[in-house]
Amino acid sequence: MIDYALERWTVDAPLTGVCVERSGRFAAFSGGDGCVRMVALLDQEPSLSVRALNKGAVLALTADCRELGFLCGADDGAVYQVHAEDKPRELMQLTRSWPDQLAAHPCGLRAVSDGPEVRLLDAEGRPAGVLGEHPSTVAGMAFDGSGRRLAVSHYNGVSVWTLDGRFGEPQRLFHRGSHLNLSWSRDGRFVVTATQEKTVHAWDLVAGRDASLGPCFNKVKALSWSADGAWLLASGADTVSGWPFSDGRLPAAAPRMLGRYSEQLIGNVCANPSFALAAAGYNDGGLELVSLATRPQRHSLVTASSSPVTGLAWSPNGGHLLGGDSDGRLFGYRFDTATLARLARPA
Amino acid sequence: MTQHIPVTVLTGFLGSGKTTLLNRILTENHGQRIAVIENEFGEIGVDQDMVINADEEIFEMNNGCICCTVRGDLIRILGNLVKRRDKFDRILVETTGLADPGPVAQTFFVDDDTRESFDLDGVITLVDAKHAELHLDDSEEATSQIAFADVILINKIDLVEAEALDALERRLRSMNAMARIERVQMADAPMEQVLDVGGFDLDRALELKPGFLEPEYPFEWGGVLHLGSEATFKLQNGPDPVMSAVLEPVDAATSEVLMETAERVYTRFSASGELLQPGAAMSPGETLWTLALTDADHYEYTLAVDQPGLYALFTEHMPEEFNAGFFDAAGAEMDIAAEHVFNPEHTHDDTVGSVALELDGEIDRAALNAWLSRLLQTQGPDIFRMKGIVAIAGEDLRFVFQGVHMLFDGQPGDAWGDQPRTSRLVFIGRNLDEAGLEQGLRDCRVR
Repeated sequence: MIDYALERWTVDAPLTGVCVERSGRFAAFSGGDGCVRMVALLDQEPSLSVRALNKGAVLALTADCRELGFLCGADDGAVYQVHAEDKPRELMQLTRSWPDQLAAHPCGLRAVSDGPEVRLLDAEGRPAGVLGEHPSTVAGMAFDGSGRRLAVSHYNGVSVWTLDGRFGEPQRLFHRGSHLNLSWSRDGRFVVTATQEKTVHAWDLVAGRDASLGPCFNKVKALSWSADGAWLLASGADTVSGWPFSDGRLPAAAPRMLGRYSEQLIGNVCANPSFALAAAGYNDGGLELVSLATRPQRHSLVTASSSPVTGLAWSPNGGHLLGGDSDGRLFGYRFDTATLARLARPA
Repeated sequence: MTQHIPVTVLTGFLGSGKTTLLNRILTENHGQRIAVIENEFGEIGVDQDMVINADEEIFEMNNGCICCTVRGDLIRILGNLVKRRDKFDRILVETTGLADPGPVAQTFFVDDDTRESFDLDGVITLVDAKHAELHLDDSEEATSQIAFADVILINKIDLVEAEALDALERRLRSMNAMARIERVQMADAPMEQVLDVGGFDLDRALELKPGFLEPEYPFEWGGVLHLGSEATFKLQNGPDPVMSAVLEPVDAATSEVLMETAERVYTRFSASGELLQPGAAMSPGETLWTLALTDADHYEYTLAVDQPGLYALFTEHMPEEFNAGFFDAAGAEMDIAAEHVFNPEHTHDDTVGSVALELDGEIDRAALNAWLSRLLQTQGPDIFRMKGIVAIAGEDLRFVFQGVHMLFDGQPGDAWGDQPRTSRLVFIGRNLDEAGLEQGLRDCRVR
């Protein structure tokens, strides 16, 4: 048995993204109807407060560089700053492409994809440089933990930019094919991408090596690092796929299958930032907590709804889990830390 | 189960009228919401529709297979469109004039997410009637646009003579026997000609009726004459200094008999002919006669037969072109008892063509699999498209399949019922070996 408090909301739009801002007090759900819906996590009976941005879809959502803020990219080309306690503000308007890749860092930097280029903005929304052009449209990007480097994925690899104000040439990490979403390891040593060919590609920037991991059963849509940085978790199979990075080397290609097998494929996975746990969202709407301890266990939270889980996010302290599916069924769980610690403990 | 959104691909060379057709589709009152994916914002009227810029970003899959080039930008754009609550009813993808439609089509085979929400409905290729022949002579891309098409629209027909149009249509047909060919002005194709074509829909593979042309012959004319005693073939100067001819006995004076006989004698025209000088005699039989028609104004050749009766004469050119006639011993002009005008061979050397196979009997599943996978591995780059309906031994249901280059998609179709179990396959490709393909299929038959 797991103790938790659960809130559910249903909205008339597919969930396109979910995240919690840096203070951990507000979560936001972005929708295929151009709206962002915010919820105050610390309220006793939290309700959704709606911010309408455009008529199409909100394509990207991330925690902004400052607390209480979110950064959104919409399919009318506009990038918005959405603040928990203020009106949305349009930061920029792209004319040729969709701002479908966004990143922000507490150091005060934001990055917005604009076709093959990346536009940097400072915390006030002023232009702070343009990176690229890259070999193709940017398909994923992320700041490293320090905020000093931005890694950008595209065709045939990744470009790692050092953000020292000069923007010379990036470090080019080459591997043929189309590289999609991208993630840094917590220590900034490894860069990993999900590829069009259902693999995960990993680069060790210290040793100067790279390796293909997988292949997975499906395209990997979610990459997530465990709280201790020891595991890279991926969606795309019928269990959570995990590769151990704990011994400071690139792992073997074949993933460890964490948890039991199920009939359904996992479309989304998100590691808890404090405990050795991950949330796994299935393509039939099912949701589970998977322990990453030596003998992984799964704990079912939600039974199938028939629509794929399209977003999952933990609050920074790991106490809240938010998510939803492509039919607009949204959920928010609140766990107490004793429960999470017990679930994460080796069985 | 969600409704798949149909995607139509518009290809064609610069100036062939793609933008005109696109505007026509967008402005026609069909009540549909359409998203257009194109490589440049053109002057397109959009109201409730959406125009998305794409850079035709093609990439090769890392497996090194040249066939597995796909359009990453399409995957990304379609993936974003599907996130909207207000879904579009239809997607149009306009390619640049020089684009090979292969990667677009392959994207719909290769990417699971795209397959999950979208159906490739058809490839529509616009052809500029006036410049098409030039483009086809010069450009691989133009050739592959024809080879990939489900519908070919010959546009700007008002700028070209009827004969040139016929010639162009024949050439297009010889390259792609699967496509529907329509003639239009100002890209004024009715919507039902270009939308909901179902070109990649296996459920509609049964509609597969390759439009092969009337065969072409190495002679333009055949006529039946009643020959007894000596007859003379009189000619004047014409377009050619020589002309080939064959004389063959027949048992009736009808057009049908001429056509049957044509099938028997056409191989003789590939032999080297025996040169005859004016005044010499042609006799019936295997010989291909080459009549010399130079250095004079009038020429006479004798038609010499041992047995009186009906004989068919096949001539390389129309007799009118040489002002020719047949005369009996008394000098009177003879009646031609029957005649037929044959389709002359056209001498464009397109390497792209279509092969259609038809075979009665039961096909062994394992043998078919082995043959097709070997074929696609070795000739995949040269096979643009293929479709087939196969009678698998022991199966009540038709097996239907289709493919693009090395990518292949098959499933059980309708039951055969009382219909004859005849397998039909069509290939469109470059340098196709018809005999080899036919033998390959034959070898799959259950013995």
